[in-house]
Amino acid sequence: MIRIEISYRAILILALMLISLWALTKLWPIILLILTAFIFHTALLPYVEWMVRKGLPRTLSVLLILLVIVGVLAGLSALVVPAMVDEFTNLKSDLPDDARDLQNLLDDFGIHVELEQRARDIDWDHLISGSAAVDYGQRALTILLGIITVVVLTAYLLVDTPRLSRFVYQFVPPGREPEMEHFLTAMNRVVGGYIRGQVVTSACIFVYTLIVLLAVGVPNAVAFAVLAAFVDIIPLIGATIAVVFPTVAAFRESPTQAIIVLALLMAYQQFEDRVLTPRVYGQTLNLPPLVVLVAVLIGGRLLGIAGALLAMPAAAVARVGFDYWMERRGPAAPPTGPVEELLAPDEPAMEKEAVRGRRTRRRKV
Amino acid sequence: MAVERGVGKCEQNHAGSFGYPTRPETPYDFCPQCGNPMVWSCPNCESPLPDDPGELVSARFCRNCGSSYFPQEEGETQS
Repeated sequence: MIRIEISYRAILILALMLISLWALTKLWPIILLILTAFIFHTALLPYVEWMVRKGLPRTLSVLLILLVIVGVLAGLSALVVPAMVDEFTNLKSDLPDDARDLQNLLDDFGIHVELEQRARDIDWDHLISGSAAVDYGQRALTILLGIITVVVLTAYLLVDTPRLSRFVYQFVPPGREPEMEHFLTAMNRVVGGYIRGQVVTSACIFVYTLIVLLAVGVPNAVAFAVLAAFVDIIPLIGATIAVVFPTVAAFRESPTQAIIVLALLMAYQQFEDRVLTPRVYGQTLNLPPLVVLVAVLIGGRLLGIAGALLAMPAAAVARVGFDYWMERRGPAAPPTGPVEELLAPDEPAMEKEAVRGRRTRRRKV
Repeated sequence: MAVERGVGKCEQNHAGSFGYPTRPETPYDFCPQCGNPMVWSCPNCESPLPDDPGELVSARFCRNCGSSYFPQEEGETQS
């Protein structure tokens, strides 16, 4: 009869693990906000430190930097939101006519679909009902509160960085501080690299979208370009949003324009997904393109948009941890002892002689 | 102004550091654990001691000039 004995310690550890997992699932929204604040903290810290070195008080430096960022974001939102509302209003009124145009176009290609009637049948009152408005309002309020929380947390982290640093270092044994410093520097480099990479890809899509929409003659080109730059942060859905809205706006001008815009923007998405993103993030985060792709897929699958957003910095941090672990393991110890012991007994004597000769030469050198 | 930081050890291999958060701002003379003198750089060429914790503990000689970090101890061993 097999008898299994489990110690109280093992039961306690298991219980603690289960409680931790339960707490993690319950507190995930808060953890997500804190992680996001840490990412922004890491990205902004060099600029705060630079201002502090120039003689500005730390609190003032943090306030100035955050004010600039919030100001830029508010300005861009002010540019995008009215344009999107305008587009939506026009879309609602023009949709039956646009659907008829598209239907005629498809008829020319031999595709017969009833679109105009379907467009007329859309129940806008239901879509934009009072309850829906409350639902959208709640979501918008949650997002707004989340943004405010992240900004406030980031500000606290930036102001309290010296205290945070002391807190971390108090757990480091004497003599191991340089190791911890290297580790933190590497973490800062990769997380900062992620933000810089995102700025690069967002800037590229902004410029490209703006040029395409201006060249094709789509109204509100700047607003759509800004929107594309914003949604580019979202790896999977972002690409669709960046293509759909300008295409719909172009369709209101003419179906041909819509097809050109759709083709050009989708071509860019392919370029960004296959060439730009792996190269930019591969260089800044020191990650192979395959790892970037797999990380985004796993993150998206596990945690949705938040997981996809956090996948790349998480993979980069994991890479830093892996490098750190490999360094600590150190290189394999070289073989020592007599040559005869290093060779298997059944190896020919000539091979033994060759090895002995190589060792002798090495010693002479 | 850059903050000066460094690691050192005594001849009993007790590691220490200065300039890091929660550590003394300047190098100290004696090991708080055994009272032996602390070494913060090579006595001969003044190269800093190795950053790597494993190397810091195992190193007895300077990798730059080959001198012993503890010449007194080395002399006692030879005599």
